[in-house]
Amino acid sequence: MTAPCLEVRGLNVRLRSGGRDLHLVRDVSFTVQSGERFGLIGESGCGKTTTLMALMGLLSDRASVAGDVLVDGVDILGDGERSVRAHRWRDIAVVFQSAMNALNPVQTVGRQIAEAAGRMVGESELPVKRRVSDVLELVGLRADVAGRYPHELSGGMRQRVAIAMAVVCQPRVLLADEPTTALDVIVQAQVLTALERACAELGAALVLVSHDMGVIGEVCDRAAVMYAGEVVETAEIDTLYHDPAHPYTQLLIAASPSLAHRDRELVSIAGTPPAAGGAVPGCGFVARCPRHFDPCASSAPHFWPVGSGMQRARCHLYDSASKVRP
Amino acid sequence: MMTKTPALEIDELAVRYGAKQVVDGLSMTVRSGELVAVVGESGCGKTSTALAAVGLVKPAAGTVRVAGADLVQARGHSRREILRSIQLICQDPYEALDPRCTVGEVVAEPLLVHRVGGGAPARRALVIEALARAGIPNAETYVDRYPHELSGGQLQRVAIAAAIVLHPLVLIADEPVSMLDVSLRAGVLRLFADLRDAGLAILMITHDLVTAAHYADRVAVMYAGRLVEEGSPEAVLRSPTHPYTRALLAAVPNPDRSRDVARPILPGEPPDLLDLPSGCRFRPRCPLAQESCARTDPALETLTADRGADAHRVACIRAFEPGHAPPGDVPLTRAGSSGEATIAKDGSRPD
Repeated sequence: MTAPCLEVRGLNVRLRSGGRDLHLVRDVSFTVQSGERFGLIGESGCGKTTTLMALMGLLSDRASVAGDVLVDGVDILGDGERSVRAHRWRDIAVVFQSAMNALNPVQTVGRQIAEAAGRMVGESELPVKRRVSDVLELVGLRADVAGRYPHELSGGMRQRVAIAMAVVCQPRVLLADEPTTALDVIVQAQVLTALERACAELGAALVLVSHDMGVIGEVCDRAAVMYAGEVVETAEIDTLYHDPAHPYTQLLIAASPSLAHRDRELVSIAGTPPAAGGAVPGCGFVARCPRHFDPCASSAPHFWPVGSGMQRARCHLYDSASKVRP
Repeated sequence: MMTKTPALEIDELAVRYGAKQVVDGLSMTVRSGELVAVVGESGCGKTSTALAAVGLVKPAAGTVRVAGADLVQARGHSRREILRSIQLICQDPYEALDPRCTVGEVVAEPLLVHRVGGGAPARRALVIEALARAGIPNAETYVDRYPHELSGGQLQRVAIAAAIVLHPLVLIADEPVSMLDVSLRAGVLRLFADLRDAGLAILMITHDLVTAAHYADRVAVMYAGRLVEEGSPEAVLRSPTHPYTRALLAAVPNPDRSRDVARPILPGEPPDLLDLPSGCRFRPRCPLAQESCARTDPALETLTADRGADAHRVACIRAFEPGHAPPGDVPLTRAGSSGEATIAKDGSRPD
């Protein structure tokens, strides 16, 4: 079997802050195949953005990153900043939440995309101008948008320009951090379609970070749910949505409004997540979990397989089902 | 008398910033004990409507009546009396609350402004009572805390407490949960529903049609400064009639959407308010547009025989043609839906 497009193995991010050692991302592992769309779901502070920033090598010097990040089998973190810089944008690229902040207000959109294209190693057979118009077309914008400035575009158009900039070097992996959070549903649909088309065209792996179960559910093939710096569940999207295993995932779905089930009373999850990066002896969710029992407060649960498929959950409820495992 | 006079009555409201008319001839009513959601994309004029309703923006035309009293014409003391009965809750509780004020000071400020509540001990009692009504447990322990000590959900409840401490008739909430984490939203929305049940009239501005459907008694859809459809959530969501409402519904993310069918995309952008198309404002993007749509600027008209305040109304000339696609042809669950996700299997809910 060929190497997955993106493989993250045992990613840990620690931050030294105010004399304390904060463990922000704990042992996160996942793989994404070429053309696959992978979701990272979680609430603010759960570590999903920190995970993306670690993959891009964009965390501050005060953060220490451990673990392997392989793109097409090549470790891009390797020996630190210099190594990541060689791969950033060319092999792995990111679209941030706020396109307005990602774009330079005093340069035309086309000039910025051309500049991004200049990062590409080796000569491209196509002139830059042609590549700019191709990539604009890929994200559903007319070629004449190249001559305009960011402030002349709507929020959705700007976000699609940001996608065009991210994919102009034809990366193998595209990361998107809450790319539609500030947008309304019609513009959101345009942006999600642009992301999907760009990834499909390039055969790139997509990692989509969102707090919105609906967006992840509609776009992604598989997803991981993060809580307090850890992945607490991974599953195929249909399983995750219709048969979630971890109590946190179950509550997150019950808290999300749904057009199809609007007679359902929405739940809110009591309490708040533990302070970011703190040490917890047992399960990080125990204080808010309606199903917690004896071992939850004292021992950290393993990441058990659930059922026969690809589903896994970090929860003691599945201890007994997996007794065969150590 | 309250049953006759709506708590909030907006009539032919126009809001203009320079040459841009962002709200154009908007009329709506909210009765006591009713929660009305105004839905629309950014720039459609929904926030300007909210600001005009609480007197923070001066309308270019039209009236805003609170329990029958016209806010736009009122001056001095009578204007203050009206403003006391209509309160605004902003989108971002992190920015709405002064970080240097304690929770108690934040909630007491409306009392001071309107000179209500007498001395400090009486004010403190009113503050604690308002915090409790806003769903803050052990309210007295929160009075002396600062905003940075509270979570986003608690902050929004403090902002709500400040809005209800004067016992207003009307609450205007502008995207009250969009800055909150999903796990906290239901609790805050439930609070609005409880305040509604306690008799408040609530106008909730949101871009989230799905949330609106869960909690509202009526949904009003705005496009380019106008109302284009209005009715019960059942009518608007089950039988969306305006092509824009249909596009909004079709764009709601749906995990059960078949991957084989392309995501429906509404082309184009909302119109430039300085260069509006002739006739219907939605015409350039509308899949049903025909020649007559360029000639007629459609008014909001009642679809059903029921002409009361709850009637299903739509501003589209094509909706009234014989042979118009029957309501309800927009499937809310697309292919492959197999029902809702299981909640904790023992049925327990943490609220």
